[in-house]
Amino acid sequence: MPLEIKIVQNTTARNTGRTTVALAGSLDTATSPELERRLSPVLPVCGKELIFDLAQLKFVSSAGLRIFSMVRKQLKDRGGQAVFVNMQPQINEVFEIIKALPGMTVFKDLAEFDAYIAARQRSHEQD
Amino acid sequence: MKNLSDCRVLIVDDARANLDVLVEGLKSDHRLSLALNGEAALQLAARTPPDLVLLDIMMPGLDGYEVCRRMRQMPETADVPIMFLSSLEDVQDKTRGFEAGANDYLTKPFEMLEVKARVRSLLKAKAYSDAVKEQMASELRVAREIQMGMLPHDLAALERAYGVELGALLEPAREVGGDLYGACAAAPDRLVLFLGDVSGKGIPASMFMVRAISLARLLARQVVEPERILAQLNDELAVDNPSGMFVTFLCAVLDPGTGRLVVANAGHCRPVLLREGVPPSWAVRNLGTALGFEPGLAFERTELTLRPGDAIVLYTDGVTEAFNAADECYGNERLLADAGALAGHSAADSAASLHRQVLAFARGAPQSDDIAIMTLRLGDRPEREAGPRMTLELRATPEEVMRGVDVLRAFCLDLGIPEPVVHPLTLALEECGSNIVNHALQRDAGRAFRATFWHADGALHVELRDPGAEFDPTRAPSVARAPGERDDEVGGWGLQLVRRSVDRLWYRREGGENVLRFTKQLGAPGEASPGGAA
Repeated sequence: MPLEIKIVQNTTARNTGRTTVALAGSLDTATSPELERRLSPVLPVCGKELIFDLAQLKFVSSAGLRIFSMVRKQLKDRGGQAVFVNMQPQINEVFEIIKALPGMTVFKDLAEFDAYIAARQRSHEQD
Repeated sequence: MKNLSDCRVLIVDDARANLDVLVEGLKSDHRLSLALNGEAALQLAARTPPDLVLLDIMMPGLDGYEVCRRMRQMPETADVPIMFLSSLEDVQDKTRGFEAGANDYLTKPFEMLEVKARVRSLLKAKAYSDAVKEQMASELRVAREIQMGMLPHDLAALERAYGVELGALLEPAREVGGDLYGACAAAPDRLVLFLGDVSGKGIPASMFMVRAISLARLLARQVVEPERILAQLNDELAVDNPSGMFVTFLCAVLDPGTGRLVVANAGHCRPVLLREGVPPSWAVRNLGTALGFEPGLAFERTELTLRPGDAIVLYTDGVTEAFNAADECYGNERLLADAGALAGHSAADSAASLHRQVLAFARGAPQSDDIAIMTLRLGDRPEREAGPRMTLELRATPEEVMRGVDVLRAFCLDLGIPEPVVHPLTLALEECGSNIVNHALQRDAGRAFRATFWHADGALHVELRDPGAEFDPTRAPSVARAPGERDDEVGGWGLQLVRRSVDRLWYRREGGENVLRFTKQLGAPGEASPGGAA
């Protein structure tokens, strides 16, 4: 199964905003190098949030998880976060088994994430 | 070694006065028994074997020479030191004494000091020789343990894996022997049995046996056809064989899925084929030549198809050449008849029963040759029905791993296995295949590994074999890092995913290859993927 990668950037000159990476197909030992290649120019300018939309992702192995872990760390080092939404059940199970992406943020869908962001912004404004 | 003071000396003399003198001189050195005539001496010796006998010659009834000769024939006293004390002093008398079996001869009148000294000397020599014999016996016991240790022990695992019954036993004639047998799981569709008999007995035969069995086990894993196993074994054994030893040898390869049994024979007695409702027959026609004589020989094969319940009995000539007290041998006809009566019995029961019958026939006559018996019976359980199987050769690249994953997925879906079970299987294959490519085969596209999938016993089985560097993916998670990876935690993820995806996972190193196998129970249709192999 191949991997399709669609990257949508919604960022500002000051590198705020978010980038969405939609994955479809299989993220495995053969396709993960391609994801790494596509992400590498994007990461420095992806904004504060990198959202992985996994709605169409059918298969992920430890090769893919390594990339997620690396991205999450890079973003965290910049004060940002990597987020995973719309996981299919078997993908969710893999994340559950590993439980090793500490502080990993998983949301059921984009709406939930947006609500979370909105709530955070409100609490910021109140400070 | 025994204390001299604990040694028992039997003094035989018809004159009480002589006895008294000897008793007086020896009583503080050793334990003593006394006899006034030959008959009494023999009875006493039989009941309580002494460590040394002081024997007078001129006695009423049995004279000393006769007592000595009889003692040499009794097993209890055959080796005991015997010293004549006699007034007869001619050379002929002394010669007669030694010819009767005595160790020493002292003429009367004697010096007590000399008697004591000679007694002590004879006892020490005997104690030393006993210690040497015990040392040898104990080394032979250890050799036997080592040799028995080479025989296959976990027949139950083979029985389960191949859906067969196996019975096997080996009784060496001496502590160690030259008979051998073996059973190897060479591949999922190849159970290899062998049985053989080395020329001679005792330590030399057992050493040749050890050499043959080690080579046979190695070849069984690498070579598919039994006649080629024999040819290569023969080539190996025929060189560096200065004492000209040889071994008769049978090799049989069973494909449990089809019941096909291929047998090759190197001069060994022909196995018995048992089918229910049919008279017993010989499984092969030809004898062939024993192994070890000269290299470069070829061997013939015989193909049979076993149906569930059919059995084959392999044995060595310790069975057919067992003799009874009337010098009759057990023989081929009796073997066919007795084995035939065992058709339908379990394999283990057949082997044990046949052995009992041979022993009953020989009825106490000493066992002249090693006895080995091995029986194989094809199981008739429905689970043995082997389902579909597929084997792929995958080159050592990530793309080939994913090709294997695609094939496995299609194979499972064709069998009607539901997606919640298929997905973890494909994940396990991806992780294990990646490990092989990255670590064992170093991403060398010129090298390949083999993946076999099959459905049996309500489970899906996957076996991966690669000829790469020794690599056990089930150990230390840090080993499972991909090249260039730095994070120690991340390295264990692949193994965790595999363990949680399958029910059983095991690794072995075999014949220069890494062999990894995992299975997943299929359960009832509609069950979601269960938890895994911890």
